[in-house]
Amino acid sequence: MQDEIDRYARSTRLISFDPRVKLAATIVFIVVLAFMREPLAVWISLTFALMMVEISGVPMRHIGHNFLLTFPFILIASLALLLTAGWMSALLMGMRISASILVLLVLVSTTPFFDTLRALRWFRVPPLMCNLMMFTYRFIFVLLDEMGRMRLSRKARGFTGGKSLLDRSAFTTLSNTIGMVFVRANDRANHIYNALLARGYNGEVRSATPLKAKGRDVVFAIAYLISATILVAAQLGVLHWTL
Amino acid sequence: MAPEVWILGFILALPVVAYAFYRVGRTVDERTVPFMALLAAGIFVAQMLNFPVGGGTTGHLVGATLAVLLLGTWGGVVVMTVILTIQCLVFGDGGITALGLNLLNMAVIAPLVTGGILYVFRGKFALPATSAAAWTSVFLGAFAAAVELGLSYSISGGEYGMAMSLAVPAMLGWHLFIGIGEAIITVGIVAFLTRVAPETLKMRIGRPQEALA
Repeated sequence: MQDEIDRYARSTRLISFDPRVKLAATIVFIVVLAFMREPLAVWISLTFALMMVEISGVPMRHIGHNFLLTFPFILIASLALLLTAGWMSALLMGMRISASILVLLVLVSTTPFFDTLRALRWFRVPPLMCNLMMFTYRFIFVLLDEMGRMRLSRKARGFTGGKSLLDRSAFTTLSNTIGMVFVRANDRANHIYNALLARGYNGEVRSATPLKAKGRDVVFAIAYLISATILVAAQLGVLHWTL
Repeated sequence: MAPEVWILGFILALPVVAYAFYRVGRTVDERTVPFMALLAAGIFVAQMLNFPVGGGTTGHLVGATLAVLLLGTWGGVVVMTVILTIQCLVFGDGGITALGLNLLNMAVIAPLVTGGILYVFRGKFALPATSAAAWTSVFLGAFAAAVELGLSYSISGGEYGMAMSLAVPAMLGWHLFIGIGEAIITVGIVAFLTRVAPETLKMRIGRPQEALA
């Protein structure tokens, strides 16, 4: 599962770019995008997002799969607007969310999580937060494995998921499952903590390779900033005249 | 979401989150960090488990009450923040701009409501207090989300969000039931842990009443 998520993070063209630059550029772009209401600006942002997907070299199928996971939310947000504000608002809303999710997915699938954390650390996010996120991220996959095995045994014993809130046995099974996840998690935490201590852990996470921004990172940052500027121009009507 | 509303979300949520990190950071030793992370991972995974609501629909756990029960109010805020941030940065859930509002609903309002209710009962009527806290935290979190959607809609003149008259009844009606599921499961988990592994219930950083003082 962990391989699943970080699978392309190490093989894509954007991997060796500085995570700090990628993170900052992506956030700036998404924040600017959130203010856009002009159809032209939203169109440009979606085109830019798709272009970045193409440039990143992450397989379409991987991006598509992750995009589909968020699709229900896009649909609900757009449908709600369709009912109250008309199809144009709904379409723009759908496109705007899609563009910002695509840009975020490019960042996420080309950056190993550990690098994102180092970038966050560099941006002065408290060490407690970074350490917690790192450990949590590692543990999630361990526990998902655990859950998967329990799901299989539940199924083998005829558990079908229950019918409604009144289904007593379904709720007993589900709460016991989650309870068990915590019990096993607790056990594992002990082992992991001891293993960490044995490797000299003292509450600080260090890395052997320092972060270094290079020329191509400047290019990356400029690409994002220029497209953000174009969006603003389109929103303010400047671009409208020249096109 | 209208920019004004999600910016407001960050403005309201970040100080509370920062204070929680300050409080917890002052009291935890490096030993507690892996444990808190495991709880966060546990809740993250538990959120993926669907429970039946009726009519073929399902809901899933938020876990704020569970986090507060296991780690105290501020620990709960910290753990929920970590979970939501990972969901945003790793899985692309919700997006970066919505993070502030998600934090406000699920990492600030829900744990503080739970902490408040548990503080009022102070260990008496443990199970009713837990279910009340679980239900109320989900319900008020949903109410906040509905108000944010409605605000977005009216501020932006219908370009973002959802009309208040649609959002509030839809969200509240639905979460009336989701909250019941959350309450049943949370009580079930606590009962299970008390029976099987009481030591996990003692990991909280300070007791809830201290954490709120």
